[in-house]
Amino acid sequence: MEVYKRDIAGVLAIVALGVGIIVAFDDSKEYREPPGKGPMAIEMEGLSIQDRMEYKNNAWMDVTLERRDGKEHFSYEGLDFYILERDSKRGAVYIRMDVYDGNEKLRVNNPLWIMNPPIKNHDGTYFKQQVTDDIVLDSKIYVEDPSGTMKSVLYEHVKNVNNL
Amino acid sequence: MKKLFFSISLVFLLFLTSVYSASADTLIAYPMEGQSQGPGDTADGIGEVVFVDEIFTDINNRATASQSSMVSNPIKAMLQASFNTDQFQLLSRGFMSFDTSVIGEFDSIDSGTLSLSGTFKEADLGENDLWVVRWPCNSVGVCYFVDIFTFNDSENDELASIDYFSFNDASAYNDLTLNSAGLDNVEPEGITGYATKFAWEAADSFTGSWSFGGRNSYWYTSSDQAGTAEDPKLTIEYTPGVAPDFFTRFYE
Repeated sequence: MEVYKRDIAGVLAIVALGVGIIVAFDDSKEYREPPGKGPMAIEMEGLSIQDRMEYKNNAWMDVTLERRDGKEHFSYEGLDFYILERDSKRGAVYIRMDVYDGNEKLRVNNPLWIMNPPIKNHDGTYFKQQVTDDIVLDSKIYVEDPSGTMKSVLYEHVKNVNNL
Repeated sequence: MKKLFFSISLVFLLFLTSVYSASADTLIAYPMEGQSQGPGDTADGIGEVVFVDEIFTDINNRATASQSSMVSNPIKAMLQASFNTDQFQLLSRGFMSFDTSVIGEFDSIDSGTLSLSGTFKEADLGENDLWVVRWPCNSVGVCYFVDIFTFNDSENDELASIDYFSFNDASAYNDLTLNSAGLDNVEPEGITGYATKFAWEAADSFTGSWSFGGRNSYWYTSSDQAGTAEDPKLTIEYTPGVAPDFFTRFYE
């Protein structure tokens, strides 16, 4: 069961009919209805395991990045990522990269093998998801965004190995 | 001349060995979302016993769950008391598997982390650690789906753990460091499975404070949304090795 807040400002509490539980909306979050399946998910329906993984690998390989100093580059959370190598092999996405925080080169455990890479990223919005009779969670809404997801995954790695 | 050739070969082999052993690789793996398709696939989901009324050791040792799901989001470890003293009505376990086939048979596994994005927690029955245990894929061979029989497949040795206070339930990754047994569980060139349960289950003993309908739970995001950046994640750092017959083949 999903409960939505539509065009209502401020903190709002409603009683979800039928179950009698209080659903409190957090005013700092934007709520909306979760979208249906995206075009990529629809295209993956019916594919074999290998084809699904290849599809997602290709989604990462197709991400276009700007070039800086002759290398693929993106900035994320204040860090500069330089992709030295990006390939799809052995069923995974293979990435080697250098990452800088200003002039400081951060540790990266190169190379990275991403197996079954995710392609959906949190778009900043939420929906109310009733997961038991008496528990309603603020669940994140994820949308197909291979570029944002790839950057998020690579950032997570750097954040972890450098204790950022 | 033969000596010179042998010396050059030895130096070359030492160079190769040092190159191979000096570089560490990192595998970051996610379970496949949704319903699995068969052997070779990966999965995550839950198995849970519900609507019962029995003592802890009975619900904990059931051979099968009442229900299972591979499309539930989120996954949970949950234990709920019933309304009769010292009895329980619900027990839920989480399962997940990862494709670790890029790790070779002769690679050396250095470290590993299982990351779970927490969404909710509660401890009516007293704080109890969440344990990561083995879901044996090599012997059971069914880590590509979660069904009611999966419930009793998990083992009881601690491979990683987190305490209630430390578990972040604000949609953030909890990074659980795998111990040596957890690293040993990694299947090179195969599928690796883990399960989550309470420490009470592993000990087969409930030592909390039973309360009328009380409930403990840890919830975390599953991979049921076409793969998100917050799905269960297995990160393994490993050093590529060289097959013993490499040198043999080199000289042949």
